[in-house]
Amino acid sequence: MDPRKKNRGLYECEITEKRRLGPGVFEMTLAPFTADVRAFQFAMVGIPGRGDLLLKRPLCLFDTTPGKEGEIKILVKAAGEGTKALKATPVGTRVEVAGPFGEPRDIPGEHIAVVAGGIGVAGSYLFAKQNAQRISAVYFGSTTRWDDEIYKLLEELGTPARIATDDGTLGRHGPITELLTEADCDAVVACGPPAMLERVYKITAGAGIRAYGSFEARMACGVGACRGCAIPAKPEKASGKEYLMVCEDGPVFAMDVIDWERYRAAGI
Amino acid sequence: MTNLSITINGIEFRNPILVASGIAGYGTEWDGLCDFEKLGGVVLKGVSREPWAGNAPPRLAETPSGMLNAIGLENVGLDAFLDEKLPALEGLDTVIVANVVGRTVAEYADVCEALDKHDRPAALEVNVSCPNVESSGIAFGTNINTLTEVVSACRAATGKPLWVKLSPGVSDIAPFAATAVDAGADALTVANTIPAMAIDVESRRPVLGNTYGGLSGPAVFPVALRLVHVTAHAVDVPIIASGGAVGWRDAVAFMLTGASLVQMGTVLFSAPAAPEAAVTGLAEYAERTGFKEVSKLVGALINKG
Ligand SMILES: Cc1cc2nc3c(=O)[nH]c(=O)nc-3n(C[C@H](O)[C@H](O)[C@H](O)COP(=O)(O)OP(=O)(O)OC[C@H]3O[C@@H](n4cnc5c(N)ncnc54)[C@H](O)[C@@H]3O)c2cc1C
Ligand SMILES: Cc1cc2nc3c(=O)[nH]c(=O)nc-3n(C[C@H](O)[C@H](O)[C@H](O)COP(=O)(O)O)c2cc1C
Ligand code: FES
Repeated sequence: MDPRKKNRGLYECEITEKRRLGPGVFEMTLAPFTADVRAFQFAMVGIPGRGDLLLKRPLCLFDTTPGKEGEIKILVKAAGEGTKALKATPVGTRVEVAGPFGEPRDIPGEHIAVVAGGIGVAGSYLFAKQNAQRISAVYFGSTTRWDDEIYKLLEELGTPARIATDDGTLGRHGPITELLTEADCDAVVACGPPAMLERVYKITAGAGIRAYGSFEARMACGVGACRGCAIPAKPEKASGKEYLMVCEDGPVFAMDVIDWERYRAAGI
Repeated sequence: MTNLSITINGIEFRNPILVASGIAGYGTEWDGLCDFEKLGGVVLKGVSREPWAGNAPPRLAETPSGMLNAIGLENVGLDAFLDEKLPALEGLDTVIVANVVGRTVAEYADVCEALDKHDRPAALEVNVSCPNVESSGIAFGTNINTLTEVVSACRAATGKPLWVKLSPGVSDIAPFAATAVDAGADALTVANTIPAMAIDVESRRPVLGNTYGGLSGPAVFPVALRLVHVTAHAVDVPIIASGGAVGWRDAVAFMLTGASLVQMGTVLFSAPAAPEAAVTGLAEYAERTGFKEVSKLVGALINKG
């Protein structure tokens, strides 16, 4: 069996903790979850008590404690029906979780700028934590100021943190990508909304810096079986393929592999 | 101990629960999550003569108790299927069924002919819901003439058991079932996803890149159950049920209406362990109701009046 597959499983987790970290954003601790997790890997999380919502939701693993007493933390933004229902789910509830999924990709570079847009901090945080020595700075932007705890968590990483908010309530007033133009780095890894990813791509391509992005797509299986999570690729950069699967080939891709025009046209 | 095994077309299945095409992938993707060796078998992703890239995203949409997919039958094509995918299943102890798709009758026949030479697929399931490019994109399976052509061509191309997976998007499935059997089908899979669509009213756009998709999941179960019932009255070949089954109760219902085997698909997305649980539940039901062989459940429905 493929060694990656040996590490994954189906977990009947309990929500052991829940706390707010920002507007509409909460952190949830789920246990048991024994597997090792690499940054930007994700889990498929079922919505408890909502049999009418069939599909599990793909959510990044925000933090992890592997092993016998293992647990994971996820960061969830109440976006639509499923994530809103998850937000309302009390501590002690059982949740079906499958994972970890996604290709654990190595990002080459010795001064990597980590860019997180809003809920994109969920995946970026673990990457920064697991690669602390190689991080030049963590750039975190959001529409408005989040709770103090999230900034404290970023500070505790021991890497410089650059903050921006669209409304100016904290840090630089404006999009986080403006700060990136001043970055001193040899690679960028970004996680956030599509428009932010595209902006990061344009900035880095202009500067000749390698950039990677963690991408989103609607998912059903999370394991490469259903072919639902397709993202348009440039065939000449993707072994001739017109589409890559976010769950199987990603969610992190080198940004120059993505066909941005077709990606933009598709929406999520 | 209840005997769970079912034999159709000379193939013995250890139990009646299969994983449906398009959900099982190429048989290895669910490793560690769903144990196919505990099941009767798996139907692999539809394979075409050349590789197909699939539709523009989004390819998925969730609907109440169901989902839409418009994958566009993305698949690696016949060569990679034979050279890479089938060999990867060598150690897998379960019945493997290949699923065949095409854009023309000749494409279907070519795939059947190539698969016929391979010893692994125990049967070929023909998905006749593909758009016919030689006839303005209308699905082969929704027209009696094109259904006859495609099934006859596949029949001529293989000596393996031939299952025809009927389209539910027809006003009366009975004549289509009879046509497929007359053209050489050894069994019928009833049915497939139901043509449907979803709209995002905020953006005023269809959700799916392809506009239309196929509805599956528990929302379609009652529809599929009726189609199995109607088909069972129309033909004498074995029936394989597909549509919305989530557990043993649905499997029993399908069998009582006349299905010999039951495929489970969409439920794997919410509960990858569901097929295995259905096998256990089915055994308990048979035990409790005094059926020593689950094969005796097939068609055991007590009809009204
Ligand atoms: C690899 C990956 C990692 C992610 N990590 C996180 C995370 O750590 N925290 C977080 O809050 N969100 C994350 N997301 C986004 C999250 O999955 C969606 O916000 C969520 O699925 C929306 O579900 P809903 O029921 O609230 O919305 P609805 O709009 O009601 O959902 C309807 C359907 O569309 C799907 N869908 C809708 N929006 C998205 C989207 N942006 N991405 C993928 N599927 C979507 C849903 O899963 C569901 O199947 C991630 C997405 C991916 C692909
Ligand atoms: C994502 C997806 C992909 C599918 N791909 C195929 C396919 O390649 N060939 C086929 O015959 N049916 C395909 N189907 C149909 C299923 O095999 C099944 O008939 C249908 O989903 C109804 O059953 P269910 O409700 O148990 O899923 C697909 C269904 C889904 C959801
Ligand atoms: S979600 Fe099924 S292939 Fe990616």
